Amino acid sequence: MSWIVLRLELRRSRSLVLWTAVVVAAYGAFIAGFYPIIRDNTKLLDDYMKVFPKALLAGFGMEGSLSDHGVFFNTYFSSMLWPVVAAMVGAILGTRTVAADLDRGFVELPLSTRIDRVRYLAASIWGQLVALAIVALAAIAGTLAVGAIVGAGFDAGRFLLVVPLLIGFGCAISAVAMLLSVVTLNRGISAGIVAGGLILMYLLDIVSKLAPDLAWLGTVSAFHYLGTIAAIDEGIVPLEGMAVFAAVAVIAWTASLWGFRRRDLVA
Amino acid sequence: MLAIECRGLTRWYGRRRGISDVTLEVGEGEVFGFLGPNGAGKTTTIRMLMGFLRPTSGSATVFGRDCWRDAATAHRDVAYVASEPGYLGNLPAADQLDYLARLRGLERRAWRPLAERLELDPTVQIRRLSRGNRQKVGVIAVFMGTERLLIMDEPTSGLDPVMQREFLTLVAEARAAGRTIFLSSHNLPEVERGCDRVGIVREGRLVDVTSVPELLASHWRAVNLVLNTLPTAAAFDLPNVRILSVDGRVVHLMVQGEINPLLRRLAELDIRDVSIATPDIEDVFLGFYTETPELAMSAGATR
Repeated sequence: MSWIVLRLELRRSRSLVLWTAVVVAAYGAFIAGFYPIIRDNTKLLDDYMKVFPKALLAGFGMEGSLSDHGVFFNTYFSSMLWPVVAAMVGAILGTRTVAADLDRGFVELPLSTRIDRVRYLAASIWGQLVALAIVALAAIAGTLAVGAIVGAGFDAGRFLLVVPLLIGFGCAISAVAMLLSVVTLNRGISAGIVAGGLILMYLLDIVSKLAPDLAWLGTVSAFHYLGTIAAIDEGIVPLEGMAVFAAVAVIAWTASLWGFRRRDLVA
Repeated sequence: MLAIECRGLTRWYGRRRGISDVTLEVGEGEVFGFLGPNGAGKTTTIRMLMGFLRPTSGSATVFGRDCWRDAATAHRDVAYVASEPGYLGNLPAADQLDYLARLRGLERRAWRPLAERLELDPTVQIRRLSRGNRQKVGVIAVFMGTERLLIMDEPTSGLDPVMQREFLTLVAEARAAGRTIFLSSHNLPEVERGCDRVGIVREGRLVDVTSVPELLASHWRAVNLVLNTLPTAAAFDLPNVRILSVDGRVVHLMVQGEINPLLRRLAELDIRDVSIATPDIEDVFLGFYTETPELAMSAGATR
């Protein structure tokens, strides 16, 4: 890993990370701000929710009462905004170093120096990890800060438990995007496959919750492992999800490093 | 030790030819020009020398190190500039050059004397620079270090004549310092003035490698005569002379190589006017891309 490359990678990610962090922090603050309304009208909302089939609500992350902190956060953030944000940041950063930089001719500059390809790409991977961590922490920080102001009673320790899960989800996307960019050397194709794959997995997750016979389909969906309810409501460390995302990220990044060493750099 | 050594270097892009069976040696301290039209395979060759592309067959080494397998190690001795370097548009030239300097183990601001010499404002973002100024960034980047080999892919395209001359001065200084230069160029006078030897690549094959003076000497010169009397049929009957046209007392000849035999014949004639056009490298270059070299020379002689 090269500090010089990492510093430039972080500098290049500055605008993306800053504005995404501001947006997710503001969104976290916004949902935390209206949480007391939900808490104070729990019975009303629970009665309203009874109108919908239980499976349908589960499909959209509402597995319990919305006044529960975990269900609330899962419904409004983990299963809604975070997948979109993580996909966007992950796809942009994951495809930038190889496919996009090859297309603009930048990658030839550092790789014409004494730095080898593995060290170069490793620095980029660390850059992705740092960027996603900042964005995830910003979301939780916004939620907790405003939650504290409005007296939501959020447990900071339990909310922080989900941070590694959120980062892991983003890293898995970023790593797969990077692997695809090493294989295809094309940013559009790589990002398209990532987006299509995520939409497919989202649908599979919903179908698996709607149809008990097809519950097994959920196990191949990343969204199945992104549940944050148990962590926030019961303080259970989301080990399974973290392990799955970490495994996907490590395998995809390792394959990227291996592939990049052998790849012709032709746009 | 050879700075560059290619043995049967071949690269195919699927069914499309890149280069084929290029065998080439560039000695240390030499300035080597690499000439060819667009699509001839110059950039493909350079990309293999830089380890960006894997050869389909054959090998390329830089100071004895394999360009593909030991690319990063080989790059310790190499500075490189692409024909259109993909700088990050948002970065000022200074930051871009600092980044490259640090990756190459140089001091930050190692580029500053060259930036002043080439009159580049380093505070301007790359995307706001003109094409010529962006090209200056590449020239500065390649010359700012102390690497033993400089590989340049059309580094002067976009530079104004003053800067092109400054570039040739930099080349001369680098040569004087014992550095080796591999220069791909379309700028033929630049190659003629700056290089010790040239390699000419055509349709992916290296068709000639020779010194610039030898290259010029082995090709055709145009000799145009206006005589006071009509010439005899055998007046120009020499093995290295071709008669292009005889129109009364106006004669157009082509001579290849040694010119003294023809001059001795001309001394016997009553000549009103004579002109001998020495080929510049452009004529020679064009000669490789036409079926009859003398036609290319003939065209050059009338310019």
